[in-house]
Amino acid sequence: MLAIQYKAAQSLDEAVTLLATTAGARALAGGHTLLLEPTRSQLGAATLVDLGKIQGLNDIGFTRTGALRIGAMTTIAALADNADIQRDLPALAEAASQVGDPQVRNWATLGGSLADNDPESDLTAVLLALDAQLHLQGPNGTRAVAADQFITGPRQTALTQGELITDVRIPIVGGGSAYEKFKHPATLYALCGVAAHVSLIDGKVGACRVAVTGATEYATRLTGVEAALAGQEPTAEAIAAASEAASGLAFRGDPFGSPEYRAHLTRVLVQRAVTRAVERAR
Amino acid sequence: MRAIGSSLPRGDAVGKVVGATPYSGDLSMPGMLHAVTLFARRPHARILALDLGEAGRVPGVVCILTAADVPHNRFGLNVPDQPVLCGPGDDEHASRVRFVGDKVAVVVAETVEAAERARALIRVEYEALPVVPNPVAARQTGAPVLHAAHPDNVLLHYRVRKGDTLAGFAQADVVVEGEYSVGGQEHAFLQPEAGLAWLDEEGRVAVACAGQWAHEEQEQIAHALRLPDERVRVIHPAIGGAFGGREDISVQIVLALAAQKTGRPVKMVWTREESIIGHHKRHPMTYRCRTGATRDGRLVAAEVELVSDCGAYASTSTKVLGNATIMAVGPYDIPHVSIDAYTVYTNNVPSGAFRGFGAPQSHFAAESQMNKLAAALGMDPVELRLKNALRDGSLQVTQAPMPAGVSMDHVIEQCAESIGWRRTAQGWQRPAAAQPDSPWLRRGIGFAAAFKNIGFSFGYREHCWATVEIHGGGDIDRVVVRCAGSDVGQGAHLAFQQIAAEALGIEAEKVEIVSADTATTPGSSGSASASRMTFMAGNAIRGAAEKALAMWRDEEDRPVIATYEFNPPATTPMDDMGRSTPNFTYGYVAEAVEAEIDTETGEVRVRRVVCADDVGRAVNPQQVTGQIEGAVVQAQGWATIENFVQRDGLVLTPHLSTYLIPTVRDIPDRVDSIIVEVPDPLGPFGARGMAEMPFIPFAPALTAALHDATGVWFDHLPLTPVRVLETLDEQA
Repeated sequence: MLAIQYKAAQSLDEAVTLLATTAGARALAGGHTLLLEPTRSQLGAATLVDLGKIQGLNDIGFTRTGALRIGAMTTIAALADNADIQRDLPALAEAASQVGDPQVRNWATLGGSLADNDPESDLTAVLLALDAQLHLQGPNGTRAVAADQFITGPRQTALTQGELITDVRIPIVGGGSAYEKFKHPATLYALCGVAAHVSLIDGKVGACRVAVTGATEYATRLTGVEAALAGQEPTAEAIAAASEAASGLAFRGDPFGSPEYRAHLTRVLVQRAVTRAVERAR
Repeated sequence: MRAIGSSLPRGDAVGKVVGATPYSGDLSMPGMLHAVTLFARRPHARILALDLGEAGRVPGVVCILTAADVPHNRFGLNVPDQPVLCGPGDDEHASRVRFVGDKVAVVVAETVEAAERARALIRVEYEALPVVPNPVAARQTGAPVLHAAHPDNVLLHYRVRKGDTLAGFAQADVVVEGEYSVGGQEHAFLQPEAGLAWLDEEGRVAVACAGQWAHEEQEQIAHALRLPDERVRVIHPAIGGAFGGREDISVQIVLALAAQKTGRPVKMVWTREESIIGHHKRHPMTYRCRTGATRDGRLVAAEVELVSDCGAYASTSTKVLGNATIMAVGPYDIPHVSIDAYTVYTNNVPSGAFRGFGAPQSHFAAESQMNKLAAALGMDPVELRLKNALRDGSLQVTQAPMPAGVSMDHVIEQCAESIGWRRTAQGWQRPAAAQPDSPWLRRGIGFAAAFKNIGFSFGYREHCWATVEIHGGGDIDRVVVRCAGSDVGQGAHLAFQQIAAEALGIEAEKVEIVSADTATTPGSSGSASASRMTFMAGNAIRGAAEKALAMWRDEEDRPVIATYEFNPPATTPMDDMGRSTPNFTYGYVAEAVEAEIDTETGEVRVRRVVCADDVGRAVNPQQVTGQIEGAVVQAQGWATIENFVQRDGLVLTPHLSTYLIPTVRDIPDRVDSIIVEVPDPLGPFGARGMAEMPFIPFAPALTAALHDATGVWFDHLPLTPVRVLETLDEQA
């Protein structure tokens, strides 16, 4: 028998205290990863600390410096439907609209998804490409961590014991972004997903960030591709040549896609994502 | 309103949708025991010893059944070559396991938990034997012999020689050669195998378990238990899908044995994984084909060699092979034909019945040949088909004339016109698919046709039994139809109801169906398979109803009861040249597919399917449309994402997370079901069987669409993205 305790935190402080002081405490957001664990016999005796009752964790709005601030408990469906995100950060809206199915999108949250850091998550690659900052609160106070530093390995993050993601801030810096996905046929996660953000200066690629998920052990920036694109006129030939730099990575394999196939998909989707990001940047 | 031709609602629909209907796994009885199966989970081994000591001491264990407990330790639908339980205590044949799903022991206990605990404590000493992974390896000299009666591992070879292929190919202006392979397929019915057995009030061993042919299951249980048939009772509760996958025995015999041994009710429910390794699959097959035609598109000769992977036991492999043989050149009149067909034992999961029964595999090869021939001749594929389609009286490859009522040309024309083929002065002309903007996406339109037998073939004494009771005084108040034919989810019982109502001229609501219990429907109806249930039971019910109606008018006694057995025209087995009258009738179907391919990722999307299916007479048009849509989706799965992988006899896809079937996200954007009604001269009110037909032409129509889109032929199924990319690269 599983002995699972449930506590609904009324405030962030209470949630942080409960998580820090209760043995076996786990934060419950949308529950899509956590609640699979009993069927996988991974969840032993646990105390679930529900974050759903905490006010203000699902707001979306601009900061005074013009970044978009998205509360950690925002559902994936709300990300997909938000007009500011659709206009300013289309890669994020595209990725959110392709997560799982409607039931999943209506429950799963941005913060839960990032804390889980599934190797095939759609959102991790997008946040890497959009240079997002994650704001965390824990027993030792608050801190901000860049997405690059937040993702530390397969299903590993910079979160420490008792620490929660409170919100994500994404700078609005112009340019264009796009997300391209090859759905994993069994899970609807990304067998391969590529997010790109491109700014143009005088018709040439200025700042450029490209990241892949699903194909590698964890979501990863494609710095070789970024370097190959920088300063180039983004012609079809130049983008195709740059996609070849998506190599030298440790690609994953499973019965639905060998490492070689995932490497191939990465090159194809880099071209498609960068091409669309460039179109939007023009 | 006439009963036939009306889309009456299904009486069983609400109960099934709200979860109120009890399926086999939902049944319980007081004092019931629970059983679990110990599967071998290795493809080929000899069992040297079996130690039940520790397992038997687990509290709650009542008994553990092994090979030594089975009175006659063999079963099989056509050939009794499969041990009920493998291990010591019987003969050499039963001491070996030949596939991962062979059963070694059945633990019967007070609770499922106790049974599972004991199962884990059974010690089996195996001697590993070399594995025969495929038919090619099985036919090599020195390959391990899997069944002593077949030292070359070839269970059956069919040989067809019609005309003189040498002379035929000499007349050909164009000859097309092709090699094809198709994979296995898991039925993936909603309800995994489950059953409950007990000793009934008359002391019979009763088994309630989903099946397809209650009387055959009764016979196989009785055979293994060495009981007279009438001491065994088989009941079909609600059945959660079948598709051929319930033709073979699963839990029935061991449950009957357990009930007999313990004197108590015993229940067993297989998990999905046990279901996937435990029951047979569609036959993987390979083909080598040559087809010749004259410049004006007249087929003159065809040569086919086909090999089917029988798996570890015969199941229905011999019958599937017969079907595959007579359909190996498709629904065309070809004067010179040579076919060699083999079914070969391996250590794979047995292959057996699955919707289409050999026809999908053979039509994939035959229709791909036709599409290639059309391209080689520079002729439209519909034009080429119409020039050569079977007609009334055409000689089959078995040299017997086609039975009357052939509508092949009719369905081809209807299907072609519906998706936009045009008749021009130069003949039929394929429509061009509208191309999307993205250069990596290409669209194409493809076409294929098929025929498929209705009813059992090759000399089987086909028959179906029904009784009709009419109750009332002057007017008919109520009618009871007794017919054993199973409603496996396809709606057979509603069709029975509508046919009885039509024959009696009453409303369908007045008809009650009593079915699928050998104690209350003593005569056999045959299997719910071979697209035969509506045709066979419809004729039996119509016969009984007409007889009862005559008695109702002539006699005073009430109620009146009439029984009728329908016997269609006899068929004959093939001789050493393949000569035979294989079947008494056929169904005809044509399909057009519009598909889109991503040439960079290998993804295939089916945009539209048009299926024209001659059903003779649609007893219930809504149910016919449901069958067409279901068959198209199931065929799409087989052709694209359903990838049953076995390596060295091990199943690498034993879950629905690794063996994928189409979901709502994968199915075609649109399916147009065109119900064609050319009456079958033998059918009840003209109805033909139809449940398998829409499956059959899908795969070759899809690959024709992909060829139209890319100029590349796809000759191997399933079309996983990786295989599609590889094929594009090979032919680039």
